[in-house]
Amino acid sequence: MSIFEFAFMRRALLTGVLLAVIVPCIGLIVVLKRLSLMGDALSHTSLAGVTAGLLFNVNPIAGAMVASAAAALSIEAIRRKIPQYAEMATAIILSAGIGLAGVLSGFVKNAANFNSFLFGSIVSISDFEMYLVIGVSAAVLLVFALLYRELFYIALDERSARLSGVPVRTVNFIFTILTAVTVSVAARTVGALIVSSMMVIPVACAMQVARSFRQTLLFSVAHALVFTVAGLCLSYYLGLKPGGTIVLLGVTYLVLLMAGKGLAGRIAKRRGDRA
Amino acid sequence: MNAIDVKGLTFRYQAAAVVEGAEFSLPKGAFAVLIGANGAGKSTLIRLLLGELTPQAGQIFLFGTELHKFKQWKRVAYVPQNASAAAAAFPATAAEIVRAGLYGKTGVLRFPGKKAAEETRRALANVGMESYAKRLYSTLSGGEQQRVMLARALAAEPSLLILDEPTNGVDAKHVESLFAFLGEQVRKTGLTVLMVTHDLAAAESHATHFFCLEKSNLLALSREDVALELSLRHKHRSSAPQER
Repeated sequence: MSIFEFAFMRRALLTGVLLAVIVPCIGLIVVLKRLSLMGDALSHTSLAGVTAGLLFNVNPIAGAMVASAAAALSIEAIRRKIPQYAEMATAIILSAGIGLAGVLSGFVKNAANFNSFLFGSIVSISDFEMYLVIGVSAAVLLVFALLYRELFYIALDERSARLSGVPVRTVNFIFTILTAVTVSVAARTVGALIVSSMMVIPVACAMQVARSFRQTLLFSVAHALVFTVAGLCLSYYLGLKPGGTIVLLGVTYLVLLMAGKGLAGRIAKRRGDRA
Repeated sequence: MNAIDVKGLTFRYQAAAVVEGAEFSLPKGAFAVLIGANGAGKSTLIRLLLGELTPQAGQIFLFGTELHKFKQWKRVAYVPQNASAAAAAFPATAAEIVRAGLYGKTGVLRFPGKKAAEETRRALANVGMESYAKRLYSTLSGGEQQRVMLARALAAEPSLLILDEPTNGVDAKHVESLFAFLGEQVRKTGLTVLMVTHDLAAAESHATHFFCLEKSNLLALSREDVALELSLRHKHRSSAPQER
């Protein structure tokens, strides 16, 4: 039976494709700013927002967005306070997020709903959630197109960017909020435990083969698209969990790519030695 | 008007004084080097000049304007310590990195056009890296990466260039060519350069001003002082036991 026959699968594919475009855009800057753990911290904190939403009868995604945004801004604030230990900021917020989510989840009656945020449920998202993803995707792409040079310069050298007139604090603030919102909507679809892999793995794959920053960005998106569509198809036909399948495909491809690159390097070296 | 004026500058990390009552002026078009032992506070002094730290006492003027009122940061370019090492794995070409330096000229929310491409090419050509424009930055040697960072800083056509130990990890041949290149820029364009370095020998024939930060005192060195310091260093190296 074709994957496109069901409305829920068409919705899942559209949502998956949109997320595969925007999550690596965010992920590339996060990785280059050496904040790869940030996705983890935000997605775990978003769980605290989800539980709060479920407890107080507020839309859990709205709760996740608020919690994620608060966490992202806190990370930025701690990074500025202790720049020499910037990575500690992410660890602090990650711990706080897990702790809060753990305590609050004890009071949630509908455990199935909470679990759907842990591992995602891309095939069961509602129309509202799909439109939310469309809106967030449009915002991310617009901001990325407008602030491409600013984000590049900040990721390369924040201090020189500031001296050149880049409004570093404003751009960082906008990017932080966008990251938080993206993580929240992605957590609902691929799962809070998986979203940071979606941010990092396509970027890691692209960095193995790209020859420029622009290529790194385009290849990151291309990899994410292939993993997402292939993962959704595989999960549909083999009856697997979509989020986990997408991530495992990505990890397997990355391992093979790195092994292949290493092997090619050794062969080239041996040829060079002989010549 | 001088490029930099520092008056009675004092900065302490808790109780430890980094600079105490420092006074110095750097005229426009000067090529100054700042030496001092590791941990003497040279990078801290640079951060004070860039307004990233607030001194406990004293004043800093850039181009005649007191630092807290200074808005023309686009006139200042900075190449940080280990700039090339920190960005070593950055997935961008040499041209993309240099183009970032043009930001101050292009402005916020503007897209660089053909003019920016030509300026990027020229900036790379200035440091002898034109043929490396499309090379991935991470595939360049330490010396080549440092030249790309220098091209990025100079692409903005700054009036003051501050470099913090740009010769770390760069071989002697490239250190000499870096000093020669900066000396030429100073003479040709009137650029003011302040460089933190340990390479006093390479700096001697190109720099115009010498400063030493020692035990929280900032001392201006004459050419005779520099010659004496170099001969002491030479003697120390000659008398040190040779490694087998």
